[in-house]
Amino acid sequence: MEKKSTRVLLTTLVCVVCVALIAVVIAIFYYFIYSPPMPEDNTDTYGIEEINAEEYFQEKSTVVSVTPINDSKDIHNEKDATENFSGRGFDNLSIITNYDMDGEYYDDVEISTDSSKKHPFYKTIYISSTNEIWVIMEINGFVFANPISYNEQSQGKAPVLISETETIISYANQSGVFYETIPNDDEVTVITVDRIDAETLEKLTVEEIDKL
Amino acid sequence: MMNKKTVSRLCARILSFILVFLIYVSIFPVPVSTKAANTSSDRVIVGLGDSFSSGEGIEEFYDQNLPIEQKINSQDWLAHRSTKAWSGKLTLNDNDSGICYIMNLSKYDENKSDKEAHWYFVASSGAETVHLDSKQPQEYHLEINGKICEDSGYITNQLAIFETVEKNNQKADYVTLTLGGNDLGFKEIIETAAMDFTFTEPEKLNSRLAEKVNQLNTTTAGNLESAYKKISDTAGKQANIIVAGYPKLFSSSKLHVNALFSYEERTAINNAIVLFNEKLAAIVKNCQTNGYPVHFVPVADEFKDHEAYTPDAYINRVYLFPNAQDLKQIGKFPISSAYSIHPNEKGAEAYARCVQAKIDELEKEKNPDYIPPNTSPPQTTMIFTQPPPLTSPQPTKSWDSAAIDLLCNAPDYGFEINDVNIGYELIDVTGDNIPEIFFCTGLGATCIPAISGYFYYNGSRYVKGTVSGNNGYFPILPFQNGGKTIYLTNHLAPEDLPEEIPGYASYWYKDVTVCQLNCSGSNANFTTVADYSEYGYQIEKLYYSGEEDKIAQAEELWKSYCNEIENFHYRYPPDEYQNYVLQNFVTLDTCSAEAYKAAFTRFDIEEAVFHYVSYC
Repeated sequence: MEKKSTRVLLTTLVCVVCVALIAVVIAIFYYFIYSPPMPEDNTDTYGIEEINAEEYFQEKSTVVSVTPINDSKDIHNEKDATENFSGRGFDNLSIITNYDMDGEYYDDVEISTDSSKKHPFYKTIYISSTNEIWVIMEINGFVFANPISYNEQSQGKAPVLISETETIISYANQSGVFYETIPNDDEVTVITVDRIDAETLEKLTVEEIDKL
Repeated sequence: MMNKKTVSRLCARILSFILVFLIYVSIFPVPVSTKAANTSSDRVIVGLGDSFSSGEGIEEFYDQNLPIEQKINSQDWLAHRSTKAWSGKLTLNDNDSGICYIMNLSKYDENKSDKEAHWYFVASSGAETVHLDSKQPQEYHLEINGKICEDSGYITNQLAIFETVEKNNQKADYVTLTLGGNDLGFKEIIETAAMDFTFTEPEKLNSRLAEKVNQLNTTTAGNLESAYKKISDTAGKQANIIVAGYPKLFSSSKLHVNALFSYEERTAINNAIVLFNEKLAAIVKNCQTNGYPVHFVPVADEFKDHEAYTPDAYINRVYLFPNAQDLKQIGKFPISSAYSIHPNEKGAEAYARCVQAKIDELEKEKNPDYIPPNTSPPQTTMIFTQPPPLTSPQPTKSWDSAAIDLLCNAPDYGFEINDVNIGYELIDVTGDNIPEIFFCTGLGATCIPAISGYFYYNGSRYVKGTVSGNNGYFPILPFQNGGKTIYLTNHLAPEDLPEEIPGYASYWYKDVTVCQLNCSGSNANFTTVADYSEYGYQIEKLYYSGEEDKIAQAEELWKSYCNEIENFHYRYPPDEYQNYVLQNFVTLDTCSAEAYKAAFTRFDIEEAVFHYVSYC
């Protein structure tokens, strides 16, 4: 009797061991075959390379001068900028700025017509009677016109910029300087005109720019 | 009382049973999914997301033909949900019944309480992650009945659609979306790049992009992960969530691809998108780790060499002025159309290919015998049975209208283009959400309707043919009859029509392969007639009415406009060209222009031709 119950107990024990073993095998199988991947490291950071203005202009232009904005005497305040635009026939347009004098960037802000606050860069959009779009910029007191319609349809060519001088003024907000440069021909096609005003731009249709 | 022996035997039996059970389970694992998938006869795809999913920039939008005062109350129009959106091009097969569900032919219509729908489409132009569970204001600036109307409509929160799915006793099999671009303000980035001159502000764009990437890492990534989980929780674990990535928008070429976007700008924007996609993939992986059935589908490879401003672009260029269906028709700044830099119809097809491949892969995982749809979806019917082999010669090329790019591939499709000013447009003439293709060949030519697609029903193949005018002069009738005979006509006067041809209308032709006319004005050219045999044609008769004198008159009228039209065409894409032609077409006509335009717009061809002929 005792022998029998020992045998039964032994059998039970063997079964339990077998079950445990199989459970371990199954656990290992599921672990390796079905276990999900380890949690993704979420600490990755992604970045965008900032432009180094000095290198940029050295590569793409002949630098004529570099002027820290605090040294410039040509920067208009909001009132003067408004008068400069309207005196050129760009009346009743929203004049926008994106920077303060410390180089801080902010989204488009419409300037006041009578404020003495200064900004290094102003711009407005002018649409000609032939529905051609221009962005007029005033940078350190100098005016330039970006022919958006022309550049949009221009493929395989350098962008065109209309200027009153052969040199271009650019603004680098991070270093707080104005660059006066002569762009390389393959970077910008500069078209000089006597005066950038509404009358001139009305004549500079896409076809006319093509002829220049 | 049981004795020890009985207890021991019982224990041994129980343990044996457990042992056998465990061995069985280890051999035949239980499926991971805890909920049963939909029955195959009740397949559902839910399309969520932003403008890249809604099909912004790809007309026709649902409800766009309603009167404007009704359109502004249409969720579909306000959201700019396109009839050609990529999620509508997806298909699901049911192997057992042989039914293929084509999503854009089974869109849920709330006005009809449609319980038989298979596609619930609530993606919305401008949507951010927050709009999954909160309503999205959609501003419009329109002129309505002569008054300027600047207001907002509201798009219902997107996740609410799952309540409707549930009410219809359905469950989503797949949820598709693109999301996150608006959270990061990519629209403003594109505007900055387009409107600013790189050389005068070289640091600006990269600074702004750096801010966006920082925002992605700090807030947007977390919001997106929460969004994916919320979608899955709402849709149910049976639903596979497919997150599609974004394509690179511009060519990586160092050459001046387009003067509006410098190489530096293009590179910076593309790099930001690559980083964004990598982040999306990482977020999706995190979700998977946590047991959510979310999958990331990259699309960049499919768009390679087809970026904006490439010769075969899958992405719209910048439109500087609003298109006819833009929500903002008036206003000062910014002025560009929302259509700009969004996938065009080819882009939608590219998206569909990528996502369809993932769906097919997942279907195969569920059912190894699953047979994926092996053709691009016909656009003409919701359900079709697999057709029997055609008795006539098999077409070797697809005539699926949406796939035809006549400008680039005309010879491949059997067309011969004779003139330089060639355009095409897709218009839903018959108002059935199936666009007809209109080809324009020849100076001042109006468009020739062509085949728009085909479908199978009861073993027969039906092809759609339509009728319109050529040079606004005489109707041309491309048609085929009875599956064997094709009539090609040119400048056929109504009185010349054989009696059995019932007039100017749109027809479905049974058992035909395809019909198309290859001619234009006096440049009519049948030299490629032989090519039609490639498509199973048997040419029986050519009709040519010999109205050369009238043709010459009509073309004289157009000659004065030729240069202008040509110049315009060279500068603008076909759709703008077409609009221009149509507008100028109308301005030519002082006596019946409005009547013509009205007829043309509603595509009463007979009346349109009548008015134009009256004018001529």
